[in-house]
Amino acid sequence: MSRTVVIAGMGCAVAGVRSDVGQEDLLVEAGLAAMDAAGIVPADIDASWFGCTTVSANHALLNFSLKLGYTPMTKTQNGGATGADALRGAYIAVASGVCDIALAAGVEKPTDSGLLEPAEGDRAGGSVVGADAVVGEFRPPAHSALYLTRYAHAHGIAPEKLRRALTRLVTRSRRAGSHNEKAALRSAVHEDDVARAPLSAGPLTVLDCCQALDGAAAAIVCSEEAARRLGRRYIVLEGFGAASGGMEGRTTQSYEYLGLPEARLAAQRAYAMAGIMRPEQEIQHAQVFDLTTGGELLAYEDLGLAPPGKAVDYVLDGVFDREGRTPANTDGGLLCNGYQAGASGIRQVYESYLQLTDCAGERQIPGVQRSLVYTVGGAVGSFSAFVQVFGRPAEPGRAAG
Amino acid sequence: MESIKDKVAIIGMGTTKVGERWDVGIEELLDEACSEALADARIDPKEINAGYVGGISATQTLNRVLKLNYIPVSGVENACSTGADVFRNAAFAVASGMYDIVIAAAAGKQKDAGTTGIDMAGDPSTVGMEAMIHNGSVPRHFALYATRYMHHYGYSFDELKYTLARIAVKNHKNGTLNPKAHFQKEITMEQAINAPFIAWPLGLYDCCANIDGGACAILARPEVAKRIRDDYVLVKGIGLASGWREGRMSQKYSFTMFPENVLASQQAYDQAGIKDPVEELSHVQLHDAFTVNELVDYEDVGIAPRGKAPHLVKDGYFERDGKIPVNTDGGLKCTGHPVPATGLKQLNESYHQVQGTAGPRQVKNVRYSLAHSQGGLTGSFSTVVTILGPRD
Repeated sequence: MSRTVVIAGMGCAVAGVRSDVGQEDLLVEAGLAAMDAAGIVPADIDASWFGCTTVSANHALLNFSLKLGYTPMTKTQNGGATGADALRGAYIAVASGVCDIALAAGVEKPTDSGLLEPAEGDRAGGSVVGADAVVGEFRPPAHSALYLTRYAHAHGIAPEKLRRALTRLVTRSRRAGSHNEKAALRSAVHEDDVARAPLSAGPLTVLDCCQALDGAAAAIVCSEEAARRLGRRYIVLEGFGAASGGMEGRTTQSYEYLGLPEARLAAQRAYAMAGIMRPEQEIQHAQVFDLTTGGELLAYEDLGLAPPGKAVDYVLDGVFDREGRTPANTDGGLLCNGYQAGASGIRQVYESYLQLTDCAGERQIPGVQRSLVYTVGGAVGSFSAFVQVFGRPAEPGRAAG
Repeated sequence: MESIKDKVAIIGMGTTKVGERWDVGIEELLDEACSEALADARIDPKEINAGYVGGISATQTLNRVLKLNYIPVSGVENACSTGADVFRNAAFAVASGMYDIVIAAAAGKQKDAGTTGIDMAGDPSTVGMEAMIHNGSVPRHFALYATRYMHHYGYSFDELKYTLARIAVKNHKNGTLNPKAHFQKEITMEQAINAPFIAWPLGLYDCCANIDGGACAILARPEVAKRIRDDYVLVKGIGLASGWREGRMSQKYSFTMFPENVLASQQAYDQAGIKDPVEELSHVQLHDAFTVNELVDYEDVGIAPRGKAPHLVKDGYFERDGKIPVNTDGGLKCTGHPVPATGLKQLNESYHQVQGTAGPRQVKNVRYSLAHSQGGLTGSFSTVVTILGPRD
């Protein structure tokens, strides 16, 4: 990148069934908090990138809600990774010098539709036949189940052991969410609750899968120079990588279903930019996209946080617990915060931002120097994976607020 | 903030044949447009480092169509200016220094919707002004600007109809030189003036067709462009202004100009260092979804004084052989409006005009060309203005 990009302030709305508000209010909730944290007003924003899959740009939702005037606004669109794509747009604009201060924001109110499940899959328009029709009709739990069963088979992992690892992720995330006042689900669950839970797509139970819930998040992305002038605590974008699959997974016999090539590539690109050679040692906190616990499990290997075939062992050894070597999804993940296509990718970064500015309160992990955020959208063979690596500045600014 | 001037080069562009493309799916439209651009740029898809796409909900479709081998592809949506904002984001990606070659593509299969025109069913929960804005037809919406323009500047109905007809006739005539255009025939002043009304005072020939098509641009860092071709075209400035519903809420909204157009143009002029658009622009592409749009756009982008554009239209100022040729490819009126792709299609003509490769449509001595793309509705327009120019 031509110049260092940082995040100087973030905000996040309380997630859940927000029947009390509209999309505008959620954006105000997240956006004002982000601007306050960064110490800016709307007029300071040079341009914005906005994710919201249910409105067209015609609705001027962002500029109206945050009183941004005629500030340039681009709506981004990348399925479940729409929020991450909004951040990427802001990063690139700031890196290029055409913006000094940019806003990346996202909002979704899926509960307004009456559905509580993420509607993934691609509806690109036109007719869908063959493999596309089959895969396109799957929901995320079914996608995840394909990968899990193949993974367990390839590595000789007994079903009970796989199930124990998935349950560990559920209980860990739910406990984490109970410490997050912004989360939708704030009650811990016990292993027995998981054992009794109905199946969604075996081996995943309904407790292994997140719900589509209302939420919003916002980030003030700027040059390091601008952040220093503002004087608030900021986090540094040390690396990011993205990769999109061209549907090879649906058309080649050799697609392995042991992970996502897109995630591996995105991670490699991010690590190369950040100069990370040994992710297990160099990353102390991770936000790993968990549409399902199965997706999260396999992602650890794609991200190099567990060796191939070892993710189950690592999970059962507590590596990704709060007290473990690489605490993950310390805000409860999507499991507790729900899924918002336009906002989840930004909400994931919110926790990294809190951790790296030492503002995570009772969730604070001591000694976090680098945090990784992994977001993914799309479907089998055609995912869009985003990996971001954040670190602390050389000289920290004042505490926010 | 820095200007984008001279940081981004265009090394190739392409468009599909625009029309009722029942023969293809959206993937084929992307393929058609991108293949032409790749051939123009003389590069292999493997050389592309990143992509931006508009008009498809699954961005990975671009990877699949072009076999792009896991490069990042981002999706952009900005209503009718999507194509131009796809280009804008791709330009930023090049200017960031992270990617050498970036592809910007967009396609729309408007006819697959099953309706003629944009279906404005609207959001059932909108009330009041929002309901009026979002529910109903788009021509009705822009008719408001035509009636207000007549009233505010004191033009008679006949004078307005004459002016709008001149614009429609001009664009149809220009389009006959563009084999990619949807319509391939001229129309007469009588036909345009006496056409059935769609939304008074706009008639059949005042409204563009929502139609199928795609377009593509290949962008590169100038250092990389130099190795590929001598006649690459440079981006001189890009402006974007996005409304915040003020126009829907303010009693003072004039309905005789689009603030977003004015602001975006000014940003682009500032970046390009253009102080006198009338003298410094050689060629202009305007978003003529409706002829009244083109009329108001002349004034918004500063190539006609406020309220005086009809006089200039009458004098042939914006004809192919006029002072500032506008919409030499036929504009939206004649080439059609494949909604997400239109902004890129506009740029395609600007690119060829600056490069000197516009064939029979070539305007003499083109230096700077401005391409204006406008999406949205009253109070929430998103206008992208891009200025292209030659390498020095």
